Amino acid sequence: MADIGYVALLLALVASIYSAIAFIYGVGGSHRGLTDSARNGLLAVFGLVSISVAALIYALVTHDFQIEYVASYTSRDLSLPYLLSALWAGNDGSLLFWAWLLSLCAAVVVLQKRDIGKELMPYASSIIMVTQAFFLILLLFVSNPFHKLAFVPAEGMGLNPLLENPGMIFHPPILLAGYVGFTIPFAFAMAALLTRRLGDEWIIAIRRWTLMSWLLLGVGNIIGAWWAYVELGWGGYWAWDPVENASFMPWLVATAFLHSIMMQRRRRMLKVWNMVLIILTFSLTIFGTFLTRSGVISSVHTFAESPLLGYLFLAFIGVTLFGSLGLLYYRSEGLKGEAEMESLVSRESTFLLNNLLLVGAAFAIFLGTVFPVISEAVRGVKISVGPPFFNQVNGPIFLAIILLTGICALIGWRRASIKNLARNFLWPLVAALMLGIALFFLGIREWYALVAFLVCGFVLSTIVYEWFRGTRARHRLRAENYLKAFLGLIGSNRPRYGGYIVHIAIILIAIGVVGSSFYSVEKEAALMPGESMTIKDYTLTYDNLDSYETESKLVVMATLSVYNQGKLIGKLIPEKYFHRSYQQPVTEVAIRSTLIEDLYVILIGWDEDGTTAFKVLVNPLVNWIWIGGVVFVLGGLIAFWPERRKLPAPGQAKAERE
Amino acid sequence: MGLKGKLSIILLIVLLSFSPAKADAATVGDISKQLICQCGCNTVLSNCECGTQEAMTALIEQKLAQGQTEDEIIQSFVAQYGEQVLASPPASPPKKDFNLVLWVLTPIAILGGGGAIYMALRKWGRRGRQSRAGRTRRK
Repeated sequence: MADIGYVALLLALVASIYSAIAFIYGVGGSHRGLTDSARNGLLAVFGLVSISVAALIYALVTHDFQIEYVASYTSRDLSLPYLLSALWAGNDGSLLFWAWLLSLCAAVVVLQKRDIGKELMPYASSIIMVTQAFFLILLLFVSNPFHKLAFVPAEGMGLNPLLENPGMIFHPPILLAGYVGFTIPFAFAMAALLTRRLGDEWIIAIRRWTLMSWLLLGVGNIIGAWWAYVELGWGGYWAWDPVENASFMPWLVATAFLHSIMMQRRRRMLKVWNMVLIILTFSLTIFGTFLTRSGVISSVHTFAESPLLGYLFLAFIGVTLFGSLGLLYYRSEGLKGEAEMESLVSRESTFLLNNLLLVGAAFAIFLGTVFPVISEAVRGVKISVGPPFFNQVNGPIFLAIILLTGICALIGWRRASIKNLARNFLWPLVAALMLGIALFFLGIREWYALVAFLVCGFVLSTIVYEWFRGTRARHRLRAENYLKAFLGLIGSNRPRYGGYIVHIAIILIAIGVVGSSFYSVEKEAALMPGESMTIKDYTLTYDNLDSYETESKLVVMATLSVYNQGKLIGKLIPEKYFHRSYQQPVTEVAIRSTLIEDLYVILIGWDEDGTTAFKVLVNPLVNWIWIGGVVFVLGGLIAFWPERRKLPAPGQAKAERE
Repeated sequence: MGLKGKLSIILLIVLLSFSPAKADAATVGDISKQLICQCGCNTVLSNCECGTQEAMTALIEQKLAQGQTEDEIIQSFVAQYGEQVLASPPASPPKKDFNLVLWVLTPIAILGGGGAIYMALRKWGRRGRQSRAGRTRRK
């Protein structure tokens, strides 16, 4: 089986190199058949990498421990979902999965019926195949997932117990799909530069690819945050770990890109800037992979360190970054914008500011992530850059971005009159101020939290206010009832209203982040059975300690009765797992979650005399982060969902560009 | 071996240094948020779960009990482990330090970008006025 997988990869490499070259020669004109052949080569790559993935899955499911990868990440007692998830548990497997996702995207690109961007497709496909070849070379010569051991171990090492969580089944593949997806917009951008077709064509062709990748990356991160929160047992969801940063940076830059391509389509502005943004996004996705796999920067996510792999990634980033920026420089004549502004106060200005801040935030995160390396090189002193830096620098930037979200929607394109502004801003401002006063009297006195909630309230009311006005207009104009009018409004311009829903999601997440960052309460206590501790309105009485055994682990569980203002509201059972195959115990936290706050209990340890130590946190508003995540997906899907396909009519491409 | 025996063996292996937190929890929490655990996990001390974390936390508690201030305790950790024990390089006093770069580069970049945007907007505004003027003349 291992040999089939490896040979398939080898053939895929040959096919991808052939396809990359044939696409370019094929469009030259004299070899029409060659483009079709290149296309078939690309589809063959997809088929071959799929065979290779199937071979690895077969080896994982049948416990073929002679394959080193299978022996390193699985064991016989692992259930089927986790056996399958081992595909992306280690470095080699996840690279194979990456290569497969890329070949899948490539296949979709060539099979897609497209009215716009036909001329770009061969060049874009060629660039995708070059990337594909790079990953196949890594798989074949540096991190071969089919590497065989000289002997057959009786049992595998098993999956790291921290990874045995539903998060493992969703977080890595979704995140990887997001990373991989950005290859497509990048490839089309390069194709536009190569062919000098520098109009809006490429932007129309990749809008939904970008949206999809951006959505996947965002959801992947939210699932990761949720996973950290319920599994890692430190009461938080985001630690500004280098690898979290690595997936957050491309998301931020892609967010800027999604906004600035609107400027290009509407106003023919920012053509060079859009190119820069997509080049940065793609380079950052590869940088993220480099960070996880090179061991240059230590992180909880690091795979086994391999300096060679690190250098290869670095070389690839260098070639893409300088190659594409160089190409951009040579083509910059053709990218001169036709920018004209009528007023400084216009939606265009807010879009530019939003772009600046999003890229600024990504820059701050990049700087913080690589600064330990810089410091060591410059001063020879090892330092750490952690949450205090990232929170202090990014907090104000994110707040400004959220504020702009609200302002932007209220200011029209081109120019805004004072009368217009006053009419649009009055009610949201009144609503936000009332909220601020109410919060102040409810006891929110920390000024930063107060300002943040105020901003969130303001932006939320701008969106609600606009929806209300649009719905009312439809209601009056078409005599529809309010619900139908509202749904009609959303359906009338899905990219736009989907975008608004995503804005609401971001605000919900912000509310959760601000609440839990500023008002989290933490308490540690050592209790004898029968003793109680109090935190905020909760009283926790420690009932007893018990344990049971499963096939793979010993579970120690503590039972606590939870009272709220004297009334029993339930039991919480934090646990600790002691896996036979792993030395470190794993903490299973117990969480009682409401819309207002989470009661979060960690079992720390116990003494022979029966004293048991707990760490208890009350984290306000955390649930709103997950609710925001769901709303984020909803809004993204509404914006992403294809418009009903119209019959392609001559001149449609032109009409769509208008 | 009964349950009690197993529990006590686990206890011996894993939780030798466990001691109930008696000091002011808030202050221990405050300090451990500013330090990085030195077990190699590279996470903030209060987030890690390992023997090193327990030892470091115990040391903080002990120093607090001796009446040391937050600053003194943090400085003692820096003296022992070097700057890398700090969760972030200190913002103050950074005056002559290379770490200043970390803190000021982003604000400078954003201000610079803001300046560039302002200049571009003015240029485009002039161009807009010119082309509008041109259109009116043609009419």
